Amino acid sequence: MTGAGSLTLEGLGKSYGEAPVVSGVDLAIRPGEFVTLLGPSGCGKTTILRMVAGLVVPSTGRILVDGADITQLPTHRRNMGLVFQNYALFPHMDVARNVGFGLEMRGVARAEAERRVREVLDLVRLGAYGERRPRELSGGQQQRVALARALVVRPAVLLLDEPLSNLDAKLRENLRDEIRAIQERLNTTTLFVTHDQAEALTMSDRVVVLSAGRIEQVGTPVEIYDQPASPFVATFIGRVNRVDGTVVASDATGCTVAAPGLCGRSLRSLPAGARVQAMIRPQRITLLSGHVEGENHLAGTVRRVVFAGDIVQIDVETPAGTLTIEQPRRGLAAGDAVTACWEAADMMLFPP
Amino acid sequence: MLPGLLLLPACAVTLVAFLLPMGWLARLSLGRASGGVLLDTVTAENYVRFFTDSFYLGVLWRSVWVASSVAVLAVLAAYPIALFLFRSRSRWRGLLAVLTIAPLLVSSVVRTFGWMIILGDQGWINGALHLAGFITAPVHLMNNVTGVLIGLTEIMMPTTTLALLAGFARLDLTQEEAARTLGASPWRCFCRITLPLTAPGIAVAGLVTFVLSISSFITPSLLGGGRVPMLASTIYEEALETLNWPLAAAISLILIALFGTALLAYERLARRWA
Amino acid sequence: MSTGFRALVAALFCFLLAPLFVVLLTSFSNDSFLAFPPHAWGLGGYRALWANEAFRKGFGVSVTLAGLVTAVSLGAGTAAAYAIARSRFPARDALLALFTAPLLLPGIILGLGLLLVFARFGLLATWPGLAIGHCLVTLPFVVRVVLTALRGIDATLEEAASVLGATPWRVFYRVTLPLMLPGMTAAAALSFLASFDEVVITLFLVGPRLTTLPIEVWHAIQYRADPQISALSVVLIGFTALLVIVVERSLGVLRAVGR
Repeated sequence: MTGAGSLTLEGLGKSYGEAPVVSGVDLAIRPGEFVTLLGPSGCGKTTILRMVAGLVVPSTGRILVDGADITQLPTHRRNMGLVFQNYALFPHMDVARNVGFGLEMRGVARAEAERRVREVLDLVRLGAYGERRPRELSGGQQQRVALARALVVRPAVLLLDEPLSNLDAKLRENLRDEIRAIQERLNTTTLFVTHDQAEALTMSDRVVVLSAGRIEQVGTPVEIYDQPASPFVATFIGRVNRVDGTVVASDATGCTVAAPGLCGRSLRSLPAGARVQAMIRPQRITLLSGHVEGENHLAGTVRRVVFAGDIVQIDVETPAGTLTIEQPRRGLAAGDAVTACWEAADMMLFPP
Repeated sequence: MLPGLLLLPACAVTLVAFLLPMGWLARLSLGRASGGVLLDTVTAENYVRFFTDSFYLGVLWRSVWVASSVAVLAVLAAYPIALFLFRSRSRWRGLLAVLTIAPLLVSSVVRTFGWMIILGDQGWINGALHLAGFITAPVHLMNNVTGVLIGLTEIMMPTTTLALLAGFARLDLTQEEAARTLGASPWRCFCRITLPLTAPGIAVAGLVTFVLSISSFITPSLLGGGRVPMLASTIYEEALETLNWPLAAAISLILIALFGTALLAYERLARRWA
Repeated sequence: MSTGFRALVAALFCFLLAPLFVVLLTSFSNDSFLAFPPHAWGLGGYRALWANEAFRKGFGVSVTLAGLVTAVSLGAGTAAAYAIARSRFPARDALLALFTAPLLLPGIILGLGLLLVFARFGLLATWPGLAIGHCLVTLPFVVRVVLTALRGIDATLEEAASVLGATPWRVFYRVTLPLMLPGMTAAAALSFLASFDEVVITLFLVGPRLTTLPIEVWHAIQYRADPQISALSVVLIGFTALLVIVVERSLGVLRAVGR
């Protein structure tokens, strides 16, 4: 077992009584792939993870590892690694015993086990901490011990349940990179759960966006961001501006959308006469001085400029509503006349 | 299946030692015994006897009276201690808290014995007063209601203190500080802020003390010397001396009824102010 | 806090601790009976105590009984607490209330009930009778304390062990049980104490053939007040203090009592 198993979820679902918490989840994860389950709280992502671990029994569907159906297999026989949000380190054992616990359960010989524990502790840069107790460690250190404990058994699949939520922002960023680096080095198939999009986008090979127990979209981070499949995904990932309008003309290459003050062109074709929501990301909008006519040009007045360190946020009042633009440079003031413009490819269209 | 197996021993003990005896007790209270054998009759004569005999009514009245007085006295005595423990920030706080609760863990026989030494006709108080020349004949502080009141109050104090402390949870020190900055003197602050906010704790503590005192056996028996019959000692006498088990059972149920009413009131209060 | 208030509190503390203090002092009196002021000091009380056959026998019975009762209650109570904490079944809360109900009722009533049943089955003044009677009051303690301790154990620890490959039995043995140990120690100490000090219920269960130390003391007090009893009381207080330290060290007294 090298730790690179394939994981397949077929029609997975879970209901408590009448209410379905998860339904119709189909997902195929390749060996060595890093897949993130992303969504707001209550969307069922943790439930899916716990079903894979065997801690929750699915109501419907199957779970397959390397083609073998493990749905009925009890937790302790599944050979997975699970990193908990609260680390779940055993307080009555020191770090080395904690990490070696899984090996002990598998009957690995003591000398061999000690060697492997040392190896994995070096991997997470905690080689000198074997004798310490969990309560003597900081949050970040405890998290790395939890990771080591899950990895040392060479699991078929590594599962991580919001492992970074309890850490402060800087630590989170550092651990993010570290986890990804270790995962790539060991080529372990990984299923990662988070509500934080930055984590999802920076760490994953693919992202699964979930809402109310259903999969909204599966794709690479770029696909999710640039080609959201639904308004939910578009608004959940990154920020968007929304303009309501009507399709006036449509052909094979795209359609023209009319909204107050705007004649817009999108590359997506929707039937003429249909009402649509158009969404444009704040970073994809360019501001021109004064009022300029054109396709995908919307004239307006600057209402507010907010300096937020890395970016400048500019609110522009237009006939089609308030647009928020983000750009790196300052230079505009409230009251300035501007025109917001963007590429056709950047205007995402959805039915209302 | 496993939970059932795990629960079995505890259920067995509860059945044999608790449910069965209590059921038997209830049944017996409605019965009559002759020569130690329970007859098959069902009669309310034990209860009738209790409520029509002036001796038993006196026992009932005395128990309620003593328990109420002890509740009041114990709350009065425990309140300053509870307030002190609640407010104190000194390093002695932990030690004092342990000292307050420690007596609870000592057998009440030992504690009551201590009071017998203090209150007896030849005890410490009488001895000291005699030595100082204040009295020539002993002041009777034992074998009467006075002794029972004093002893029972002290016995109850740790429990009362704990109950008060639990009820103090709603009191915030900053509220008193606010009142002081608004011009309230310590006394007025106490009357207008502290006391009202701790009222729930006082009510609960009083009830708990009442409930425990009314069923108390050891202290009233030892300090009352047989002259202060209360419900518990009467039950004991009827059961083990007069051997009138049905009557003893009936008195027990009356005690439970009193007890239960007070406990219900306690539940109600505790929930309202939780 | 004003000095007046402090003085009041100090006086009340004296009142609270007066009987224990008096008992301690009079145990060192060499008089043949207790009077104030004591005329002679010494260890006469303790020597007489040591020589008292009835008290020594009673002590032996109480200790053995408490040990037996603690063992049984610990087993039954821990099992029950584990089932209540980790399983979900209908009437779970009702069952817990039933287990802890004996603590709510006055001892005099519990004792009477036991007397009625045990007289019928010839269990009065017998070891099984006494043991069952004491288990009645120690079992609720054990269930309550162990349950509190169990609820304090993070469930994700057991889940982690399971994912790491531990069978349900090994999860219990390697993770749950070690973490339960402080709670069980506190429960055992409290149970021992409760049984050792038990008086009211025991009054109904003893007889000339078999009696416990608190009952011996009870009878002795009725007839005389001499330093021997004070000495015995001091020994009992010391014993209690020892057990309380055990509880404090393992779980903490306030946590065990549930506040």
